[in-house]
Amino acid sequence: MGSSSRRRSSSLVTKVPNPTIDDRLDQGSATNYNSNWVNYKGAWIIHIVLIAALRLVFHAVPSVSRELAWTLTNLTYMAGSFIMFHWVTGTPFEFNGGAYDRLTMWEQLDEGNQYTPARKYLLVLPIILFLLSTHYTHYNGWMFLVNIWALFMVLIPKLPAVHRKRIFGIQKFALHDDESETVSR
Amino acid sequence: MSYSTYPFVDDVYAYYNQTVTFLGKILDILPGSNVLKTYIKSSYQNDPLRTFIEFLLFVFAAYYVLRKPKTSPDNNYVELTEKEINELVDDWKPEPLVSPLDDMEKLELNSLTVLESTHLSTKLTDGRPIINFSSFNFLGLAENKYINDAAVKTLRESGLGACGPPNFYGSQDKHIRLEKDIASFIGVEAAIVYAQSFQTISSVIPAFSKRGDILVVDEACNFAIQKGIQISRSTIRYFKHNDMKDLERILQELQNDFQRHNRPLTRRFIITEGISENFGDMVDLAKVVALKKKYKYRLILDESWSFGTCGRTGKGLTEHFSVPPNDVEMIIGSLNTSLAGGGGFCAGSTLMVEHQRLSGMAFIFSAALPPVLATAAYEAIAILNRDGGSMLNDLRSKCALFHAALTRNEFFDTTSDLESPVIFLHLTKKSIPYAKQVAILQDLVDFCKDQGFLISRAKRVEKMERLKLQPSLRICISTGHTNQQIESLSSLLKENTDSMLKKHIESKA
Repeated sequence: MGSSSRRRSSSLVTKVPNPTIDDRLDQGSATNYNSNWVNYKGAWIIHIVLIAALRLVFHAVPSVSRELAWTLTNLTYMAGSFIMFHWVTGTPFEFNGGAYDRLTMWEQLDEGNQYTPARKYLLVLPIILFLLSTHYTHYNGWMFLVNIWALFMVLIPKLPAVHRKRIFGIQKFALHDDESETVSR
Repeated sequence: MSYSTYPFVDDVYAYYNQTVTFLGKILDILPGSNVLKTYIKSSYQNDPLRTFIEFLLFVFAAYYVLRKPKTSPDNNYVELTEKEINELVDDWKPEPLVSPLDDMEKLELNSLTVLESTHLSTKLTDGRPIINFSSFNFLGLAENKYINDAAVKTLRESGLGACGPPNFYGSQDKHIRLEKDIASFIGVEAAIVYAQSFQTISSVIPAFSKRGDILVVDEACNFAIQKGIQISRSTIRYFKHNDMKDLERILQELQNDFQRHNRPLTRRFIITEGISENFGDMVDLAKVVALKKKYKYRLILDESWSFGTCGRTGKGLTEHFSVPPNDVEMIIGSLNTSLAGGGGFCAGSTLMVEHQRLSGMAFIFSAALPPVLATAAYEAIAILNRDGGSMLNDLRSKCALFHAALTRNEFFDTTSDLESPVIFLHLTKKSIPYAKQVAILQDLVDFCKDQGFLISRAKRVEKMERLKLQPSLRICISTGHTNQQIESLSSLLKENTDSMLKKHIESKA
């Protein structure tokens, strides 16, 4: 009856299993306030406002040149959006009985539907930011590499093929293994 | 100029040149085209690889933006065409609101009995006297004059209903007093009272245990516990009924699993019943508490049937096993059995109880216990306190009398504990098919009813229970029964089962 022998503990890519009927019931029981704010008014403009603010702040520091300011803006925005959309799982307040505990915010958006307007905007925005930052750093080779690494870190989790996948066992959870016995009914 | 010997290619090239120049002129007119042209010109910077990568990014972004939204396979949404929808609508036939009864349901409906009062010696509607051996009135307090007078006084003061959930003007001084009395009776810090005994345990469990938490549950737990653990969405492990070795094995396995995979620490509970609602036997509370301390679990003890019937003065299993009541994190009991009130309670530490005031779903969303029943319950506790154990002794001796009368009986076996006032009798011949056993027992029940004794079968929601249990008779002993009545019932059962069995087994329908 031990669940340990059934786990492939060294696999590189694991999948968060598809929702069971209990999960779907819980997810559908209330609106997901954690993720539906991306469709509100002003949620799109705020990204541009934040990027502009970051750029201003970084440039205001005396020893930071314009190129470095752009790179730092790029990195900060990528890091911030990565943590917010792709690292933190679950919801901050309980209204769905923990049905979203294992999903990152990106996976919770629009109930898992792909190619929705919010997702399109959030994917195109880092690309535009990257192109701007390489332009303003005068196409310096090293800056380019740093910026493109940050861009890939943010773009790859947004691909539909990576939906619900986890690498290297990150964000492993308690007894929620795919193979273990859960509620029998 | 000609680029080749074929004049046709000249024409094609001229046409191509013209189109491109024309498109270029149009693009020039568009706003922002200058910026775009400068950007593209300046972005090349003699680095074709980098430009190629950027171009790929641009193509990818364009592809993503131009894709149509797609519903996710997470949602299991089946896309039907208009034609399919129309076909399904045309094919639909409405089912009747109430479907006709099948045989088992007809049997159940016919076996329902209507009595004239809640007293133990009462009459059927046609006037025949009958002694009620299915009433949960274990200590005879439902007929107690003192409790009735106090209840009538409360009825005149407060009316019948509480008119609201406890958090929204439904709580009265009587509920507060009841909670204090229960807590001091058992010997814990605080208690919270729910309006219905079934909803108590099924609200307490999900209030504390959520997805990702671990529940180790007795496999023969009652239906209310099953619903509670289903709502909680926790991870469940069942251990064999009242089998302490199996419980230890499961706890050890979970511990090993926890250490080997370095799992995050979640809440862990052991859930068991004091006296089992399905079998009537008692759990070894001392051993469970020892195990829970060793493996660091919390214990939820459902004392619905053992509160008011076990222990020297009726405090329940903690008194019976001399376990300090503060060792059990949550003691859940019912007020609708011995205490002649209604509803249920959960007793334990103040923090645990206060959490339920906002998290116990039935506490928030159901009306509060009627103050009449709350009065009856705390008056009953006062009587139990004054009594000091004589009523419980009486009950125990009557149960023992019934058990003794039925020993060395070739037809019936019982799983019930000697001290349990609810006695389950099942047929020893387990090979008889299920439906026939039900029919035999129902015949016995009807026969006893004709002879003036009301017993019943153990009724369960067959389709939704986890375990399929052997059909059994359920006999509830009370202090209001005389010894003679108990002995008459047991001899009635012993003498007539033989003929019942013969009648059913010989008639191979």
